[in-house]
Amino acid sequence: MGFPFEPAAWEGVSGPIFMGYGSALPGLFSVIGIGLCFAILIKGQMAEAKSYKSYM
Amino acid sequence: MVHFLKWPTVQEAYDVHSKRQGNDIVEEQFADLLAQLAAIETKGNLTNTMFAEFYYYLSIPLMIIIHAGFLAYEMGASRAKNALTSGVKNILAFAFVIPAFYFFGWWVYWGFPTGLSLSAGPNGISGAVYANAIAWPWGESASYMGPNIEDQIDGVFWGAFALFGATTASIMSGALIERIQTVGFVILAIILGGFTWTLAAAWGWHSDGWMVQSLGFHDFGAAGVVHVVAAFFALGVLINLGPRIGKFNADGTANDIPGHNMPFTVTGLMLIIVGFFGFLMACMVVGGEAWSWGGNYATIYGTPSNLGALSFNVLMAVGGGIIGAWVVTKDPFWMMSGALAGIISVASGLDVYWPSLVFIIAIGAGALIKPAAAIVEKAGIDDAVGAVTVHGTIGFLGVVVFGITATGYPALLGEGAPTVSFIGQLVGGLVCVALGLSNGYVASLALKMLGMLRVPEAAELAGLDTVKVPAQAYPEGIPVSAPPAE
Repeated sequence: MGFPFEPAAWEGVSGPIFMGYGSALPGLFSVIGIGLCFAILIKGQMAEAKSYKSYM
Repeated sequence: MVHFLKWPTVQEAYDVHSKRQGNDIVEEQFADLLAQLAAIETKGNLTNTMFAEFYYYLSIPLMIIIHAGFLAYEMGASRAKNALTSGVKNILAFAFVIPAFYFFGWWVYWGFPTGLSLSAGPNGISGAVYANAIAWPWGESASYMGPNIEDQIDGVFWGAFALFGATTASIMSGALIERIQTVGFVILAIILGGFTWTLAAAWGWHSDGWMVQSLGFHDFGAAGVVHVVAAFFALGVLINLGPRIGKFNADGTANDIPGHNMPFTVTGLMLIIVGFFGFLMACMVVGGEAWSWGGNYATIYGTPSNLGALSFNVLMAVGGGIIGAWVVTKDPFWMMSGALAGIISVASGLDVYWPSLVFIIAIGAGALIKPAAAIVEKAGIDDAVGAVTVHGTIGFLGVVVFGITATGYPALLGEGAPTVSFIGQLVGGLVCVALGLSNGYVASLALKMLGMLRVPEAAELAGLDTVKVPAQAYPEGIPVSAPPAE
């Protein structure tokens, strides 16, 4: 991703300083994060359902 | 008249020169002074902004103490066979509500104040366009949703609001213990903490909120938008979830199902009280910052208040609530619940209540909780910790009582602002009830139809820790400790 400013120096930098600033990466990471939440909940539900099987 | 040019004498020329030099020196000193004043002002503003940043940042760990309290409270209120499952459920609620509030909750708060139209409100800080500009973690608005050295407020303000969301999930959590599925519960927590309460906050806890603008709804400490919404959401879920096995007899009478660790529960309740000071300080806008009241603290409605008001009123509410519950119950569980009820009963008006009046109202709230919980129980609802009563019934009554005691108070900053009224508070409170109840009922009904709401009967009887937690709460039991050294 790299430092989002040219040249690579902190002097004169202001505003957002996060990785991927000004690119599509923050959005991409957010979408991946949301996707992970869904995937983990689905996987969690499957594991939970399995744990109940012997009690059905 | 004729003027003749007259050359100055040497002395006159010297005097004029000296005077000019003197003026130059004064001007230089004056300019220097102005520069110093500007530097002091800049530093002062920076210090104030940094204080505001620190203030909200501090409210976050204090509100996490609320969560720690609910964790202890719920685990203690569970039977030993379910203690860890209750803990896992509570921890996961926190873990999932935070990202939910990041990914979409913050947008809901800024997008929906004027209702479902997503249009901008009179103060211009709401609506879809505004929310798109500041609250999505992508695109241009991403600059407000991550490290930004020019923005010292948005991050900490978001953090405080995220913790309000986590608190709503915690309020619901305790009511549902010992029979709800974990993932089903997490989904409900995401809906409540990320959407439902946030919608209520947008409507009633935002200067552009339609309830504020058109009803004069005033709810400083979020009795309605947090407590009522969360409790009635829980009630909606409880209707579909059903009572724990053994709670009710065939004739409809209820059995008491005591938790395994009353001291843990009572300590948890005390932690919640501690955390409430963080919750309530985060309800304040720091003086000198945007939307504050001149150089002083303000409520979220821009009306004046300060931490002194909270100090007087919160402490008096805690005292009154405990006393009221003690008189009626003599039970430490209800006494600490009474402290909570005391605060919630006056939360709407902590900014303007007179402390003695707070004390009286809080005593009433403390005295009311057990009888009110009995009514809920009589209706066949198994609310394991009395959350519907303490947060819902008392929160609603608190919102309405404020409408009676504070009639005529301006609800909002600005000329011609709507004023507090009984009808406005009543309608606002009912909106919170309806929003929470409908969302909780519909979401839990959907989960029930998908088989994701309630654990199987045999699993409930066996104990949920045995079924799904790879750890044991008390591997050595709770033995009598070794005798002390001689």
